[in-house]
Amino acid sequence: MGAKDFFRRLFRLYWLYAKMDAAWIMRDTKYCLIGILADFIGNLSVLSGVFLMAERFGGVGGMNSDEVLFMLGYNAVTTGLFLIFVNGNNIGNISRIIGRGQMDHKLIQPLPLRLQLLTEGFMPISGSGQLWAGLAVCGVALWRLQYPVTVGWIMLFILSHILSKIILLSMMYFASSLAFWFPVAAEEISTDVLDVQWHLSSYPLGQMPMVLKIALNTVVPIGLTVWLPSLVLLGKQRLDFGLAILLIAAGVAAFCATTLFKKGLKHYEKIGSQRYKDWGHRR
Amino acid sequence: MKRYIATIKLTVKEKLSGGLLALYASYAFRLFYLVPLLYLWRGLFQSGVVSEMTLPQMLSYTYISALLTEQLNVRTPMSGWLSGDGFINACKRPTHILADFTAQTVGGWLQTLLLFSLPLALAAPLLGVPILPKTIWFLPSLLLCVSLGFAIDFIFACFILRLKNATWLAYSIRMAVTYLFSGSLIPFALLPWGIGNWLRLSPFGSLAGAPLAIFTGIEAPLPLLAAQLFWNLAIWPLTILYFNKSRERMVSHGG
Repeated sequence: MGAKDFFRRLFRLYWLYAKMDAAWIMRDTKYCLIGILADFIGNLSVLSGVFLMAERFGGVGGMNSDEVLFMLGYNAVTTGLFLIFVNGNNIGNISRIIGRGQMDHKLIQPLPLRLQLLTEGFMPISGSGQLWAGLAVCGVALWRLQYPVTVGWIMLFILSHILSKIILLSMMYFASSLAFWFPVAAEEISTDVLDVQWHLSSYPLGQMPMVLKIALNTVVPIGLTVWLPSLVLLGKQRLDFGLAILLIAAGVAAFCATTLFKKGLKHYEKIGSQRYKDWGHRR
Repeated sequence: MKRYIATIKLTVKEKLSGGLLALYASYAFRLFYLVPLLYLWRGLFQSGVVSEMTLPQMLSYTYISALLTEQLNVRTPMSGWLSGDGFINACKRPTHILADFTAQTVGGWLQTLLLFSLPLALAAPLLGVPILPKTIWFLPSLLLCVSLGFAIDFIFACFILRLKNATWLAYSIRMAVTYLFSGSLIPFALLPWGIGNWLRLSPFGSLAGAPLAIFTGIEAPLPLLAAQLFWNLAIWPLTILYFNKSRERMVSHGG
């Protein structure tokens, strides 16, 4: 498939999934709104705890309370983008699909796997509540900080979110690839990764020991998904240095995740799903 | 009693069926969350902030909260997804449904207590975290917290039975309770604007926050125990009543 065909098909599929998402809110408004509210409450509770603590102490982890508020808003936007682009059909929680032997469902589709993974999770309406909330929190924080927002800054905000999302998804796909070899044990590993990321990324890492800080920005790059981009955007970290780190990290993370995922997929193509017994029961 | 012990044994086996990798991966993630948090508190308290708590108290609070996560914020399979087969299985067994879910939950705790909490408790001195309770009143407080945790979780489960497809909402509220309202992560004493004083009076405040405050000695035990006892006496009858009214509405979506 050529690049032109690829993108044409990509956007057609995005449009299709957007229509399906819109259909959900039209047909089942009550439960759709309940779902949006649920995401909102869940995320807000995690973020508000850290903010309240920062407010109480006038800051935490080398950031004042308004900067912490911006970081939490950034975190909510990252989560919002995750919900919009990969939350549907367990595309973000890919270890579930692999562990349950459902890769077969994808491999028999007359559509490249990468296109399915890029589009199947798209929920632009029901998944957007968190994004708007995050943007509002960022706006309030910037207003309280009296921070000058320019077009260049907005472009940087968008770019850093793209890089954050690549790093986050790479972490999830890297860990989830284990499910190709250990389908039962690793079926829920993506949930564990997301839980840790979700909670730990709310804390500023500024006052942590150097070893831990390096580990949280390299081995398990949670700090690169929210903390470092927030520092760069708030001008507390040099732009060229911060951006270079994010670009390199996103490239390395994507390479590692893709390599392991492809390796796992090859294993899966040889062995198939080991999850179900002959009479259909799940192991 | 034998039938409930059988349920506990069954759950232990079920939990181990994913293999040690499944268990230890989950424990590794918990540890991975705990260690940075301990250093975050160290950094914050050593920066000279004025607080109602000392650094050792804060470290103990966080550490015990991680060791006893499942007991401090009880989550039973009953408030799990209706798409699973847990509810149907419980209905088919010759046991009382609430007691059966209690046995299943306790069975699910055992291997975590043995394989995660115990080693972590032994490792506490190495991390410089004091883990001896300030007073023996911690134990009755923990028991009351567990009892109230079951009652509140069963209410959430009934809420799910009634709303059917709103499982995700109930789950999210449940998580919000865990992370903010119960005081399991951030002590009420550290919340600004007196929010902690209000949360402490709520039934959720008698969950994790109360035993942890007693354990670390940041609050007097008797008023907290009285509040816990009150909420247990107030909520358990409501739970049983709500369950009896809701059980017939159960619709399982899978198995």
